[in-house]
Amino acid sequence: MKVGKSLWLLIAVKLFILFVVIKWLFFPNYLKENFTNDKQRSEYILQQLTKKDN
Amino acid sequence: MEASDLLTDWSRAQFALTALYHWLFVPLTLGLTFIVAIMESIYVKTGDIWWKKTTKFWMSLLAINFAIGLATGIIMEFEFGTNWSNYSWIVGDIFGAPLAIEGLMAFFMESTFFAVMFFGWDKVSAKMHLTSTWLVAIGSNLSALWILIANGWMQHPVGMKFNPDTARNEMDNFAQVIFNPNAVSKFLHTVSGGYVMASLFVMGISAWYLLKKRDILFAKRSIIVSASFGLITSIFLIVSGDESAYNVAQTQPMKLAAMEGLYQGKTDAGIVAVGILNSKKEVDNNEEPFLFEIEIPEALSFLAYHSTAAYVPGIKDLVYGNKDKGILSVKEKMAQGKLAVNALRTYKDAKKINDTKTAQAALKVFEENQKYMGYGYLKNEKQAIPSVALSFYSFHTMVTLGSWFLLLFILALYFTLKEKLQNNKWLLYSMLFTIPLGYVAQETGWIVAEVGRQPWAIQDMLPVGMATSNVASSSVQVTFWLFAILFTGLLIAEVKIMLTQIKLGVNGESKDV
Repeated sequence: MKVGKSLWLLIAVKLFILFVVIKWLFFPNYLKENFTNDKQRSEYILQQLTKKDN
Repeated sequence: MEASDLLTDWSRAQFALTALYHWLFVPLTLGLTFIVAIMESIYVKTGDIWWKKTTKFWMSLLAINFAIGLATGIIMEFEFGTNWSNYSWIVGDIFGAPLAIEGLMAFFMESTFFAVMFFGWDKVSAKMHLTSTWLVAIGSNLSALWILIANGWMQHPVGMKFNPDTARNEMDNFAQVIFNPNAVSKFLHTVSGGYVMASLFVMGISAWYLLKKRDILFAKRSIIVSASFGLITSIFLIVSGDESAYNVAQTQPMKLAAMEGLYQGKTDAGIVAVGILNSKKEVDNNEEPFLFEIEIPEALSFLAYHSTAAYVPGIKDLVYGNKDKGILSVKEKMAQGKLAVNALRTYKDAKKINDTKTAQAALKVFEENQKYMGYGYLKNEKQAIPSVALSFYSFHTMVTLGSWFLLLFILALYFTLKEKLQNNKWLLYSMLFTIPLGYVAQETGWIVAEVGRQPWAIQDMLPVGMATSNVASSSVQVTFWLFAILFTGLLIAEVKIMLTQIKLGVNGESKDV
């Protein structure tokens, strides 16, 4: 197999693994998943930054 | 160990793993693009078909490295969103601009001309092709510029204001962010490191051809280009390293003290040329910091402050303070940090009940103390000390290897020009076996930069423990091992495909790519 073809195959498999498998299954955006708007996200982060057991 | 510490450690381990693997691919691309551009320029200038063949061969290795390294950095962005959501939110507005410019300008420029460079040899004119090759080199380096501006901001946050209503840093001075001295010196030092790395790569592989007594002309020409490029950029690497250390001294004195294993500050401070740290040494005991050391007198004072008589603060000064030198102790900073955190809490609560007067008073206290807000999250003063052993040994490994590379380029150039290189097997083997050392120098450089700034995700503002998301450490462990397998697979693929291509040689590449 020519090296060019090997590389294209490798790129395709890698991008599939990265964007479809890894991103989709393992890496949800924590703030987007758990909160519906930026106001809620801000409040959550402020609460994290100022909680008393820090 | 507390669950939150475990989460922080695994999140850091995962990010370190991703960044270290990603950086196996990047420096070669940064430097090799310029080397092939130089080779192609010689071809266009002379019309010598051998230079075209030489260019195409190294371009084929660049293609392999680019294809396999492609998108490995994107995983770090995934990790920001999942494992480091507090951090991502807090820095969002600052990172957004440089990374968007990187995506729109540099990445698209690089990708577009990459296509012309690889597939356009007989489809566009020689000059147009050469222009594309140079634009790929410039584009890939511009990509690095914007990423390193973002990293430089974490090391020395400037040009922004923290918004206590949104908990985000908002950029108020774009020029300060892009001309941040920390970012500029980091960019120059990092890309020049890439140029040296690529030079070592080309030189080492060419040495292998000479050892095998094949493709002699091609190998010699490649060595002349790479050793010349490597020599010039090594000198630039030293100058930018000096500038980088100067900036570290001004903005991250604890990192500098850790890099040098300097516990007790002093004037006329020397640099440890060679040393073995005493593992029993702690900041609060009287053990000697080194079991063995050879020092270059006054060099650290000069490196850090450009004056041999300057006082360089040690870890003790920075932890316990030094009133004579105007250095606050970590405890004092922790007190100010706690005032800032408490004031932010009061402000938030007062705003909720529309108590404007209390909110304004709390905001004033917050703004007076926010410079050391991050210290408010430290549990004890020793947490402000990074790993001295890792910082010290990484720094000294990087510097020692950098010095060796400079010497190697000089020797390679000298013996090639004297037509004596082929008989110097020790030198050829040195060139070949220095390729992995180039990667070691690259990785240790990043370890110094990132371990040395601990415990901060954002210097003095946000410790790593406060930057993580509220996710289970077990899920981070799973993805850690997943990445370890994926990246190791990619690395094996890269080495295997490259070795096949190298064995084909300069004549083989024209049949195969």
